[in-house]
Amino acid sequence: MELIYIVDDDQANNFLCKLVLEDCGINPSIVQSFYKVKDVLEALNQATSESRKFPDLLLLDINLPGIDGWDFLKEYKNFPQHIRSNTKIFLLSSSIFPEDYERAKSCQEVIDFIPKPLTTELMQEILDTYFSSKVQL
Amino acid sequence: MYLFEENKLKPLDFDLYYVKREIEAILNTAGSSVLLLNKRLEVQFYSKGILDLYNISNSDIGKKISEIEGYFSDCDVTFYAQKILKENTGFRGKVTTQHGKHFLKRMMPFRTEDRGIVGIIVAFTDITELENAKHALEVSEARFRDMAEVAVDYFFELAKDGTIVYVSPSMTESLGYTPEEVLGRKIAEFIPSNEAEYVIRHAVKHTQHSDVYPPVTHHVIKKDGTQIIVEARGKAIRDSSGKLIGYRAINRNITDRISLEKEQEHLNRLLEQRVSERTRELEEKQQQLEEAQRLGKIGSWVWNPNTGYLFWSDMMYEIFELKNSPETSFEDFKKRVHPEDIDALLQKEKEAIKSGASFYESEYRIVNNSGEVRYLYSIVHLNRNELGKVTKLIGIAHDITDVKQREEEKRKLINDLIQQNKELQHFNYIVSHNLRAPVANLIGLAKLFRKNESSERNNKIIDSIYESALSIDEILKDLSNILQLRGVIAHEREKVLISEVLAQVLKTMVSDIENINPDIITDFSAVDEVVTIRSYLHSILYNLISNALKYRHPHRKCVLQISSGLSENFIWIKIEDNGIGFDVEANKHKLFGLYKRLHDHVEGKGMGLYLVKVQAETLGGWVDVQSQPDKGTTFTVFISRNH
Repeated sequence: MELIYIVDDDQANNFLCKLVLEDCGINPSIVQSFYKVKDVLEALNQATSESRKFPDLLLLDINLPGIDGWDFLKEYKNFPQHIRSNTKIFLLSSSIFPEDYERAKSCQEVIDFIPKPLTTELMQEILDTYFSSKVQL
Repeated sequence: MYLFEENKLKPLDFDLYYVKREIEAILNTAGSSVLLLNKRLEVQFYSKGILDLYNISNSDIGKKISEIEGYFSDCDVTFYAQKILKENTGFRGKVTTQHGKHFLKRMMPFRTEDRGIVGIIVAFTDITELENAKHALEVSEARFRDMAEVAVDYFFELAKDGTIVYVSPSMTESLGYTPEEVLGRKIAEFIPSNEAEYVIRHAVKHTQHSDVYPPVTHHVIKKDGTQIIVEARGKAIRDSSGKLIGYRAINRNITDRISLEKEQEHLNRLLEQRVSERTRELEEKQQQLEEAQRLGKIGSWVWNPNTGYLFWSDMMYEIFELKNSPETSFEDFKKRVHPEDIDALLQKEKEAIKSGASFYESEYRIVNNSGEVRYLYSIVHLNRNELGKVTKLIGIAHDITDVKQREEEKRKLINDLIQQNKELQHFNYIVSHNLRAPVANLIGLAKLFRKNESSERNNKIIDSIYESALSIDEILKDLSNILQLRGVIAHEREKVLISEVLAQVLKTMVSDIENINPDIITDFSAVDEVVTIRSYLHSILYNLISNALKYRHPHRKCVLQISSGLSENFIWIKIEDNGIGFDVEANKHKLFGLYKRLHDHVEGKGMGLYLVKVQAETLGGWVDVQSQPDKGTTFTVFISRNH
């Protein structure tokens, strides 16, 4: 685990996610928060052009002003497969509507849908499931 | 006139002399040939006319009648004269002369009051013509009888009410009944019940305007219960004033001649007859039908596409408001169908005719005589002949304009409800989503809080908790505002001036105005005064102007043009800016959504346009938007004038 992106315009949530990750033993220095989709796309573009690694984990909020989470996913598909293939995207939303959950599940690039708030237990589970070999406690 | 000569009278015949006058009278009145005999049957007198019957002359006076030669073969005057003398009665008979003349012979005693019978009068009346006529009649009757018996099996007469008043004896042979068995009974008793009514009506109908009725084929029940088929012809019997008093009919038994096919054909005809019967009954109900049509706004029509014959019921004329117009034609009808519907209607008709269908339905609009558009629903039946060719189109047209209008209103209402429901769902979605976000934060953060620990981490958590709580508060405030807008609380409408409200709005954003210093150009010359909810108008102007300022172009002076105008039943207020603009198509779904934001470079909750939209809708209108990136945006708010 080398790089984690959190994308949400909600500062409180970003802070919360950082704390959770920290509690799960993640070094806060590898966690980057983005408030706008535009910014994260820029970062990914730069990574592509500089042949840097994409984040291992991306926590994406759906409801964002302007370009939202769904728009991001559309754009994201345009990155070369070999660069993005190791990135695990989780949608993070306060939505309790099954439609959003279904839509998230139907999206190939998305691993799972996480209802807010993110908890230490769930994060630990995700890390155990998808990143067990990389995690150092 | 041949009279006695008085000197020739003999004393014995004296009594005869007394009746001279009476004889004269007889001769005068009867014009007959007369012979007068005395009791000894000697000729006493003869009139000239007797010479046709007897070779007699004056020298024969006094001779016995038996001695005088008669010109006939059998005229036994002597025998009857003796009988008269003996029995004192009269006698009459007929004689025919060798010349072929016929005479009525009358013999009677001749009496005086005191001396009894004194002689016998023999009178002959020439009835040759009468006899000839009678004979001719007999011959013709016999001929007729012979003919009738060959051509007709029996004949009969009916009273007006169908009572049998006469039957020919030949009926016995045909039906087994003797005339006595049927006289006085009704004709209907001898016809199968399913045919009787028709047959009788046939006779009644055809004798209304003519004396004879055309042949009608039907069954007759024989005495033994079996049936024969007869062809009945008949005529009306009328009294001298022409009033119908009964019927005379002849029946021919055609049972044997009717083969199986004929029987079938006959049954078909009966069926057809019954159908026409039924049709007639239906015609009788026309009155009720017309009434029903009037109430139900249903018109009916018949059209023959081959001849162009078109019939319209009164209601059709009423639907088209052509009540006092002359009869219409199909061409005329076509002109009155709504121009947008005529092609489809004709196409449908054409297809139905071609496809062999027996009916089709259609719905179309017409323009009635007053220029009003009416909706008609039509069912059309196609009558075809045995070759399948359409001979007639029979249709009804139901004016469903009212129904349509109600339907339209209902549809609108349903659409409104669906729209509102959608909005409520969306509202629900947004609210729960947006409300849930800070709540989720609260829950998550509280969980991360480490009790009994004083640390930078806990302080930060508390700060975030506070921020989230503030968010919740703000959302709840928005909610109550929106619910208020949604008409939970009634607002009063009043006359306001747009220019005045605008001035108030600009006052509330005075610091922004001072900073940005936009050029604001207003034109309310077309309309300034509106009847509306002041606070809504205020909010609409506030939100649109603050948006225009917020999304102004960074490199040019901000220019706002605010104007108003009238468009049909709406007042519009236009706010045009030269700001950064946006792609309308791409952002349609977000533009007026609650908590939706197009831009992320400036602060905003995504409430403004949502409020503008809801308020415009509450005022019976809508919001229109035009924008081009980098050029500017124009919002036009429509408000209903009579809401």
